[in-house]
Amino acid sequence: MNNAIIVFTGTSIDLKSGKKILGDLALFFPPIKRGDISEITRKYGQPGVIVIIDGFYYNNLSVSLTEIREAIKLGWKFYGASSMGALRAVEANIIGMKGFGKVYRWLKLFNVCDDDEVAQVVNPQTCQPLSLSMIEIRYIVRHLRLNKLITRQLSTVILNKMKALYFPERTEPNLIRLLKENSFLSSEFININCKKIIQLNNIKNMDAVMLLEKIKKKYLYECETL
Amino acid sequence: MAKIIIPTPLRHLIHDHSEIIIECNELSDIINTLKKDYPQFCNQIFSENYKLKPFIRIYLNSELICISNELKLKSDDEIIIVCALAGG
Repeated sequence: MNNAIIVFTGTSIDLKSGKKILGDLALFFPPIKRGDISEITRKYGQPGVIVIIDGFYYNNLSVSLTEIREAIKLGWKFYGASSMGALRAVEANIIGMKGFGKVYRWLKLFNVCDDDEVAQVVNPQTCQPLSLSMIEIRYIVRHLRLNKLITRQLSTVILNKMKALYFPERTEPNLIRLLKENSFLSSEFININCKKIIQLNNIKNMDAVMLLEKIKKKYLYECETL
Repeated sequence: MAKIIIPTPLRHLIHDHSEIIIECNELSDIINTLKKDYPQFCNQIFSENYKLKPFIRIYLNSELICISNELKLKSDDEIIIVCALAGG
């Protein structure tokens, strides 16, 4: 395939890890914002593939459904996962954008099109996440519940309290503080294990890696149908 | 003494300096100096009770930290104030 593969990411998966998977097969851009798609379609005349993983919200206008629809009409293929990509894939599924991963399936299952579930604050220079998104918190709390580290009742309390916070305040220290205040687990156990559990249950990252691997298989080895 | 790196959007509140050096032993010294010398800048990064505003993050020597007044500082510490963006 000679047409361009464009990937918008930087938060769910860092640039270095993304490039490690796709190498020279794709061109990497920072998280998507409104206007980026038209710029890409103008720049690369021949339709190719656009992979949306991360995007910007609030401070910038987020990528719109109309932009995706217009590019699909021109022949561009769209794939989404992890964060903004999963959210837009749920909304634009009907017009041909394909979504992948647990975040996408979860949002689709519960018919969630709410930015608040995937939004977090990021460092503007590095795009590194500086808070946890609600969807990540749900996955971490689920892991704690399934491993019988917290009760179902407590998981509901923690999720409700985290959801009630303004999204930039949904941070790792705040989640750990809530666990310390409410669970039977010792502070020592929480201090030692929670950071590890949070890192191992980075659902956005897992989905991003999975989608990029799929893109690689399809467009490099042409052995998988996306 | 610590070096404070100021984020571009807030530099106009600090006479366009990209960084300032503040004599300090702990974080509360920095907060007090900023409060006295640059009150407008302080209003932009702190809410009530000197809690950081939601989009502001602080790095101490490249490590993301939580604000605590008792935090001890060394003479060559570098503090970076970041105005975060909403993304993901």
